[in-house]
Amino acid sequence: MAISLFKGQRVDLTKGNPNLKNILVGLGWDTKKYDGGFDFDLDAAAFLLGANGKVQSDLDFVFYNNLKHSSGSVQHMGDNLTGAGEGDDEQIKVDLTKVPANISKITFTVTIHEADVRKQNFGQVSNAFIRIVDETSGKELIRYDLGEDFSVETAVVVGELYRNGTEWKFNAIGSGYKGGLRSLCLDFGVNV
Amino acid sequence: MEIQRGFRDKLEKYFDPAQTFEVDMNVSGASVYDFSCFGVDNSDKLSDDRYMIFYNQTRSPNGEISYSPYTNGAKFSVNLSGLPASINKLVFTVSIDGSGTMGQINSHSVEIGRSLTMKLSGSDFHDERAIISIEIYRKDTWRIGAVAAGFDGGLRELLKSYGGEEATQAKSHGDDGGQTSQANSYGSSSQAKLYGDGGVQTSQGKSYDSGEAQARKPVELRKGQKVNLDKATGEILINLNWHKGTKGGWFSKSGAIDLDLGCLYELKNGTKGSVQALGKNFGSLTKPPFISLDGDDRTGESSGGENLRVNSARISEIKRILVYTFIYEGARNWQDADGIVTVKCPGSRDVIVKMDEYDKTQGMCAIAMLENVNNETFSVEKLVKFFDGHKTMDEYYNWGLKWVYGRK
Repeated sequence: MAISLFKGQRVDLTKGNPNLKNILVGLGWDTKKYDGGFDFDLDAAAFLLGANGKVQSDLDFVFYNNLKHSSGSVQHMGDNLTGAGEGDDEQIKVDLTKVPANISKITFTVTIHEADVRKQNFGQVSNAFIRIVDETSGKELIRYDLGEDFSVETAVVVGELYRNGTEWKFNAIGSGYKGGLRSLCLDFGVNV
Repeated sequence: MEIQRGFRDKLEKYFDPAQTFEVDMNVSGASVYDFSCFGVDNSDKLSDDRYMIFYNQTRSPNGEISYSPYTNGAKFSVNLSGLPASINKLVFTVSIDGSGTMGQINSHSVEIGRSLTMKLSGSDFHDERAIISIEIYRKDTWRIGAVAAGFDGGLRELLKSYGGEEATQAKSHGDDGGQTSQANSYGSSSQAKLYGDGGVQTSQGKSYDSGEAQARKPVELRKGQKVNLDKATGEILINLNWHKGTKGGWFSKSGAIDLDLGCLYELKNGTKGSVQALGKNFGSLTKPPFISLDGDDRTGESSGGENLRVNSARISEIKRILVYTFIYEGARNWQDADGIVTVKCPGSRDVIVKMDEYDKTQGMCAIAMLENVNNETFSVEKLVKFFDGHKTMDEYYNWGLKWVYGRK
């Protein structure tokens, strides 16, 4: 059974699971199905960060316009899932063995596209979750349900995979930010 | 403190939710507005309709919520600690009685516990007839959510969306559903609003807005976008319409544009095939593939275009449907044709796929893909991809049919 995390919890991923290589990071959410107004366009992204918490190149920012990292270690599967329902809304695949040595962590985020124009925020989004599946066995290893009720934020840092010595661990963050994807990019050192 | 749409927080940060407090709502505008509070359970359902507090039911069973209107608004007095455990959330709404839309209001204000205020204006809305204003809900502790979302319907549709039943069944006070002539018992002048189409009326003389369901805005897909229809029911109509072109005179170069609508289907049992006029596969609604094509409109003169119909009662047998159109003969004037496919499913918003890309060199265009979702409904994805013919398109989408030439 998958481990269910609470906010702030950190768990081992590869310790006790040393052959873990290909993982699928699934992100999902529900938007209120009220009528009227603009549709929601939520985007998942992954930031590959160095020890200083910043990207070393703009290409370390994997998102809908940069789907595959040059190392082949992180691949965004694009916005091609059915949406509504129990399943993931977006997926990002990670090959832990290919992550370059100078990358200390991979941070996963969800942001609302054109949130200002559409006057949308995460107060209108519910049941957000992140889960990690071992692609080889198909087993779900970790699940973090962001039970936190977000308010007027337009970006959420969901969680991060980080190195701990030779092992990989996961940290359930679940923090909201105003300023959308742009503010996250600036924080992580991506040139926007 | 002023709050905006999307705001969520624990009530206890602003006032003591254990004490009775007020939710004061008003609207400045030209229509008649009704203010209501729905006390719903944790499935968002009005399982106990005594907890719909509005002009016709102004007090909940133990007085935990009570309603008192004023000129252009209403105050709800709320005692959260008195609510039964089954009530998980209070939804406060405004709905229009009669004509008008929320886009036309001047303003809508809500004040909660004399501590939080939300102010909206008509520009926050469009042509909706109701607003879901705020929600007060339990999650570890009592919280507030500033929803501020428009709703495409009036009070009757709001009630329905919370799974409630109309007054004639649920809340009648000895009323058999007929229209009585009793005046409104709150002392205002008789408001026997009688709607010719049999509007719901309670014995107190005021009825729900019973007008026809507000048409819901169609969804126009972007290329590659996929949406789910609401629960599939009845007959799903897939209509192709286009600019027919003129037949022209003896020397005219532009002719009538004849687009042919068709589809490839794959059933759950593995059966695959096509429904199209060429080859005379008009399909069947009552037998597999449960998809039929109306007769072939060769000149596009029938102004409604062409239609495919899908029997949604048999949806569990259908895996996917690829809707396409091809130009059987004549120039590939896709741009002049400007085709539009509309997917209509009873109860759902129309889904529109515009053929807004053009490839004059190709005669076949895959327009949309419908895929079975949990045997409950279809998803519709906009493709608008061009091919030189059936075979190439078949291969691209992994259908695996054998294609031979045919004539109409």
